[in-house]
Amino acid sequence: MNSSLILSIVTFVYGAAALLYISAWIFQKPLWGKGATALLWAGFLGNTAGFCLRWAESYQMGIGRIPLSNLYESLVFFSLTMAALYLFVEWKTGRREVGAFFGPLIFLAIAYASLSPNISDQIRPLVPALKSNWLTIHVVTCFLGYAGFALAFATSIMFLIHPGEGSNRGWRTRFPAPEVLDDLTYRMVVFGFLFLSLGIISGSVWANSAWGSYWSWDPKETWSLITWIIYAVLLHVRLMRSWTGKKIAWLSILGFAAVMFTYFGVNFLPGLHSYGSF
Amino acid sequence: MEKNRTTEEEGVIRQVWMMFASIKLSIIVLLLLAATSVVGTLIPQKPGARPEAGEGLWSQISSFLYLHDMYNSWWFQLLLLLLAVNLIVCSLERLPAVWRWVRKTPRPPRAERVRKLDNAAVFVLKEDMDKAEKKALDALGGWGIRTGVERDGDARLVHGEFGRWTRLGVYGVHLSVLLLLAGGLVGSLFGFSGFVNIPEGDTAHEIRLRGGAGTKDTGFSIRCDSFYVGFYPDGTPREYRSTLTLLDRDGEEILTQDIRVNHPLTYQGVRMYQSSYGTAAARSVSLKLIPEEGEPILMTGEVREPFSVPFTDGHIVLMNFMDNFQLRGHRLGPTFLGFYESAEGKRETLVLPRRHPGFDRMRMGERGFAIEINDYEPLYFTGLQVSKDPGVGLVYLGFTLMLLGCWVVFYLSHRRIFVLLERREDGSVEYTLGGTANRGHHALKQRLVKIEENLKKA
Repeated sequence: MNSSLILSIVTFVYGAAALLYISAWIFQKPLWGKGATALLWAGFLGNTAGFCLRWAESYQMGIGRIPLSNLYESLVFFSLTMAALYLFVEWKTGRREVGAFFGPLIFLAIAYASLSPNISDQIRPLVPALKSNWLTIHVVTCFLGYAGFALAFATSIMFLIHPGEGSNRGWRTRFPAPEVLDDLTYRMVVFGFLFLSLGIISGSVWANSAWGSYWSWDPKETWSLITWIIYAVLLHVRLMRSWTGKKIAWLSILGFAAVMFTYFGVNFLPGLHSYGSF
Repeated sequence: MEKNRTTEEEGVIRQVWMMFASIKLSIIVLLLLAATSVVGTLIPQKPGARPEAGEGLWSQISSFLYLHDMYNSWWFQLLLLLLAVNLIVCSLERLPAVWRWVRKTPRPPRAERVRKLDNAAVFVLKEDMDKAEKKALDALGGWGIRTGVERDGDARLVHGEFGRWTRLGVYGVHLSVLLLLAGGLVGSLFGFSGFVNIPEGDTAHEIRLRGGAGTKDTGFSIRCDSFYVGFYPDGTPREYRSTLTLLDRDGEEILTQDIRVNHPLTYQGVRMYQSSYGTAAARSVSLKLIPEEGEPILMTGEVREPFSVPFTDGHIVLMNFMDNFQLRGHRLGPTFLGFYESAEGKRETLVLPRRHPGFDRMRMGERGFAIEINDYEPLYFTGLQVSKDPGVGLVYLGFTLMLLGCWVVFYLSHRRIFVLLERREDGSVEYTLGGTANRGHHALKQRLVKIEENLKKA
């Protein structure tokens, strides 16, 4: 039993949870919804166990490092943060419909890590540049931020396909009310924005101690700033111009597109952050 | 007429001022910064390089717009300046009014207004008025909350207020952005950044500035006492480490310290980072001589010292070591250059790449034996990045202020909560509970529900 095997099993548990969330919502079966939550908890615990086991395995190999340093490990951790955030929000709001849209995202991240032939799950030692306590702080804060934005993305999509309150036709009316979705989007953007700020700042302080410059306009840095600006604009128009609803939902989707480019797209551009690309 | 013109001028100035104060401008500038930043990630950036404006229209445009170094271009700096002016003007425009809010203790509202609050909850409890007042005071009180009671006949208004200062949070965030920009400016005006390669045992006091901007004297000398590179079993580098000694102008040693990646050395505001390494020379070399017949032999010696060849009475001299030798466009890697002199005094040039042991065999001709580099003990050079940035303090202050400011803006608010107590004819007390907040109405509502629960407890 090694961590890769556990994480492969977790992939299928997450997939099953996502399917159950979708079925519970379409066929209106509250009991299935409870089952989906139980499965997601199981996946989350397995994901945590796999993460910790991989950490322990690295010590057995004499490398000894937190598993947060390549694409495989970051995707596994991304699923972990998304599942944790979602379970918290579900517990707070008591609504499971968001799971039908967000569950697949949790599944997709870890499925990409486990199933893509281009992503190696080997535990490799840390190159000297990554040997720093800032690594943990930087990666954890960034991925908490990404998880917040991903959840905002899901609620924004739901807001946009919601037929409107009072309309009594079809499966989409079983969503939470539009204003609840709108409020949830805003809260998740705020959460993501705070953690993205922390992530950029910790990365910047780290860069200053590793490379002697707190900002180098490296493509990943630049794209994280672009992402930050898009969400900063969203927050300004919301708080100062009272924008809500559709416009905020579209901005949140645009912001999430920038997040995805910061995460994956940048790997096709040259730069200092090449660690995360393989 | 005269007066009209002044008012007209004032009107224009006012209009320009209001344009700079507008949130519209902030959003346009932010979006322009984001959009143009994309360009810089797609076109490879070569800071400091100054390509000549070529013939074509594209290269003219590209040169004019500094597309090869756009984050340092005049127009990108102009956008940053515009952002700074916008932040200052919009803060100056709004700050005085907000400051008055923050300074002034608001008067408690009249009973009528409390009843009309959209989150007002009304309930009746059978109890004594004084006890109700004390209970309400307890329920509203807490850390950072200012409470008070107004008595008006049979009615009493218990009120609590929290966080008037939180209205300033957004200006903290704006100030933090200005600090970041100021820190960047200070760094680019008074700082420097460059590189220097120092072979083990050597001393340097001058660095090559980044972007080909000449050299700079650091004011002290850096000696590389030794360099170490360690590898994991799979060949991945584990650690780069240089032992550095700093010397003052008179050659007196100031300090000796090891630096590693992520662990730079700071002296007088100048930071020295482990950045790269390479082989500067060879301390000693082990040659393998392979005769056409018979056993090969190993010989150890030094560069520039002759090796006597037993089977020919000639000798070999290695003159030079190149870390990455290139021959007709081929990279041969670490290579020794030298010559072979036969007993008759005929010289022949030698090229001995470490990684291509067969290289000499193909060229050995009539010499009668081939030469390979069996091993060598490298003399490393350490590659240091040396930089000074007096703006870092401002930037870190900006970081701290930004995080604190965002926390205040998003999670705290100026909140006022009221409990109106009125005696009813049957002797019980009617509670009206409500509150106001400048933002975060949802959180206020939750707080009110909590307070209501507490009040209803005996």
